[in-house]
Amino acid sequence: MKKTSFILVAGLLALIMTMGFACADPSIPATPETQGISIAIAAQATGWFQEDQEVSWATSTGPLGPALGYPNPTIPVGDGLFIYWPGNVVLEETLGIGNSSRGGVLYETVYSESTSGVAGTIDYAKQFATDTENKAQGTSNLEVQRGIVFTTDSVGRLVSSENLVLDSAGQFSLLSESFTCPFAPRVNEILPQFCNRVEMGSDLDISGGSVSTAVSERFVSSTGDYPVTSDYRIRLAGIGDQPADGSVSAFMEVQAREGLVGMIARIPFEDPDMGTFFLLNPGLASELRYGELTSAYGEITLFEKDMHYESGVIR
Amino acid sequence: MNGKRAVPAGILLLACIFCCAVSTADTYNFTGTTDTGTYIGTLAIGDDGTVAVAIAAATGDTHLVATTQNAGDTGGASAMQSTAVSGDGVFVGTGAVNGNGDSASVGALGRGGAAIESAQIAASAGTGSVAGQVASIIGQTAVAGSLGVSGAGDMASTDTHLSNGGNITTAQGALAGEVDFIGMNAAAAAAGQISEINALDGGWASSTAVDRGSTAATGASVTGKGNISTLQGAVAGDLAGMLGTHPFDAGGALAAQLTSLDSDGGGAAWSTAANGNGCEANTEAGYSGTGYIDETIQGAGAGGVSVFDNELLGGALALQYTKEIKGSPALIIDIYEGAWATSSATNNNRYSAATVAYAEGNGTIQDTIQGALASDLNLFHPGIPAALTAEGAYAAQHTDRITSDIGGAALSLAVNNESGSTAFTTARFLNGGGEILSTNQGAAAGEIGVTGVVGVSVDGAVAGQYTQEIRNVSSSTTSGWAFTRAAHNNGEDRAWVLTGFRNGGSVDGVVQLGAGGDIMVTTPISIGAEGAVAAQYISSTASNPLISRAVHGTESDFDFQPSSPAFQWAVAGTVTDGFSIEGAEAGSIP
Repeated sequence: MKKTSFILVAGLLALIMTMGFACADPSIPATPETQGISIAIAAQATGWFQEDQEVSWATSTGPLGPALGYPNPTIPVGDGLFIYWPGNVVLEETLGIGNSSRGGVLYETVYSESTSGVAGTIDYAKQFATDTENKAQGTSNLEVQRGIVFTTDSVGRLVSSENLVLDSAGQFSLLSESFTCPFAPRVNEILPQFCNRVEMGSDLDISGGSVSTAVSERFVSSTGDYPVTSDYRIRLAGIGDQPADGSVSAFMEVQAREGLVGMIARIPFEDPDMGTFFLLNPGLASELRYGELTSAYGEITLFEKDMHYESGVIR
Repeated sequence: MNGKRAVPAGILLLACIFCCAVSTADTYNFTGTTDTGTYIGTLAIGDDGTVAVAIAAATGDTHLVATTQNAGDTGGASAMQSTAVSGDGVFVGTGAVNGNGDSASVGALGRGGAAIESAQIAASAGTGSVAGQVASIIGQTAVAGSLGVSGAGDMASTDTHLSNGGNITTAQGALAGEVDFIGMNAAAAAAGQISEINALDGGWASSTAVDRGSTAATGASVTGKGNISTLQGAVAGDLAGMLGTHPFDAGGALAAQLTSLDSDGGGAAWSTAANGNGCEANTEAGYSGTGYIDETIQGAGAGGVSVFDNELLGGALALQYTKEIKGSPALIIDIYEGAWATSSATNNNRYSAATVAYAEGNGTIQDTIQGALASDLNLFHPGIPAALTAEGAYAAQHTDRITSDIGGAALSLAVNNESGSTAFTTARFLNGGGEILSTNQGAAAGEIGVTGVVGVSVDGAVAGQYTQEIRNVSSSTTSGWAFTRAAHNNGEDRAWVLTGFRNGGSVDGVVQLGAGGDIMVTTPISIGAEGAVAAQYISSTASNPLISRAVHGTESDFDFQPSSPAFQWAVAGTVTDGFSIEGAEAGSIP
């Protein structure tokens, strides 16, 4: 058996990694009507097995589209400056048909799995659930667990890939519009605009072994008090004393772009119906790119990786 | 006030503001029309952090916006506009802020089919911001307001409201700023208005000032069809620095008004103040039904002076002079029905005092001067073994005349919850027409403590009155009296005095006093006294009976004098001076 030195090393080592990442999202409230989908799969088969799944879900505070609405009432005045006058009932009516007093927020997630077991014996179990309701901490909008054991006495292969993507973007908004907690950070009255994307997943191609993965994600909430989270975990091991033979990789990519709203002026008016005048100069304040791929080839005794993404003002 | 007076006053205000307005750099004009309305505005941004904005907006199918706007560009920031706007919903607003966060704004807003004509200006410079407007509003619901907020946290505002039909003519403005001079820092906000409201279903005007910890507000309101003509102002500020080697901080809030109003559903003018340490004071003139208030001048203030972060003096004060209040029976029974003028103060609910002039039914109160005060005084100095503390609540009034076809009263009350002492005095008539002429009365509750060479503490409540006359008018069923009562130890010791008439008559020239509490001397000798005492004196020759009574636990005494002139008293309590004397006694000297 001819292997490269790297594969030899990989085969001898047990890879156990934990990754973490954090930035800021305000979550998005649920639509009036919500859906729940749950699936449970248990399969034992010898020969051929195939599982393909794809979930795509986009939700927005306004009509879905490429443009995110400014919070109402907002007047662009040029040079990147915006007049934002929340609370003024006349300006809200003048400028606000269909617009929310909260800046537009869009969340989009995609989950996909493709698994095939060929010329072998497979035990496959899967629990899948997605729920578009508001979720509090400790619960999820998307949750998937898989457990797979594959053996072959010939040239059989287990090939599986799994991807989780969470894309979020939002316009600036009044901080008080998004948070319930009175102790939320009040360093700025305005929650800045943001645009974040996180992608996690794994690919494996083995002739025998056991693998388990777990996926969970939360981004729908009635309040921004709970951080947006996305988690992916994979564990690949051999069966008995036999290591898994093949390749496995797991990755995480993040692009987090955080805005900063320069508050040039704040002028309160006497009556609550007259609102408060803000002159804002929003801009990009932080851009973070993160990419990471872990791979192992050869005889793999253990490959375990736990990835966590968390984004919120209160964490 | 009428509109003709408001306009020149407003122009003067704007002229003052314009003179203060200085320059700016970049200007932006913006406008837009949507399916629902139109907005037009201008914005100035100075290179020193000043910003000024003016905007006019209107909604509705037939809205109209006609405006001349200008943003300044000569060294700070200023914006101004002269606007006529109408529509279902209309708003005209102008504001300015400087880099320190000192902001000033004015606005006028109407809904339900409204029209506004307004001239507004706002300007900001390095040390402050100022805004003013002259506005005339016609609308179903309408509001005009001004607001000044200093970057240090002082706030002053005025507002004028109209509900369900009518018009507002107003000149108002606000300013806020902060300056440093000779090692001291002064920050303040002020607002004022001259307003006239003609309401079909009610309206109000108020002014508010908020210091860091103290608040003061004054306002006037009418219910139903009515009018308010008011001149109001509010100011809040804070001065901090060094007094020799002593760091000090003095701050407070003050609000005042001169108002006349009339309506067919009741009305009131009020002032209130509170400091951050639990001292509150209030004063109010009001009436039910169809009536009026003719010229009430009133105000309230609260604040404190601290040295080394220790409060030296603090309190809240409310005062009023009201020329005349006329009231009538209300359709809905409230606490009062008729006409009233009240003042009250409380010091952390430990000491409270109030004074009231009240004419039931169809009644009138004329020329009442009232005040209420709650205060704390702490005089001490580190290294000096002597101190004086005085804390309490006080209320007093002089009222020239209370007249009614049903009944009327002038009363004063003090409650000391620390020592369980109360004192109460009243001049009263009921069951028919009558009047009270020239009553002077007051009440106080509190504690005074002295330590050092002498150790003395006085803790209690006192009330007293001198009333020129209580008499019936056009009624043979009217009864009237003057009554004063004092109690201590939650009523264990009590004493009262009474004189009056039944089914017609009068009481002339009565002086009454009541006190309950305790006095303790600890240095250089030890002696104490506690209890209640009441006394009265009538100098006139009349057939009014004089009655007094004293009660100490299960002991009591009673005295009756059939006519005046006479001096009469009642005493109940305990004196401790190595031994104790206790009991109750009532007596008189014809």
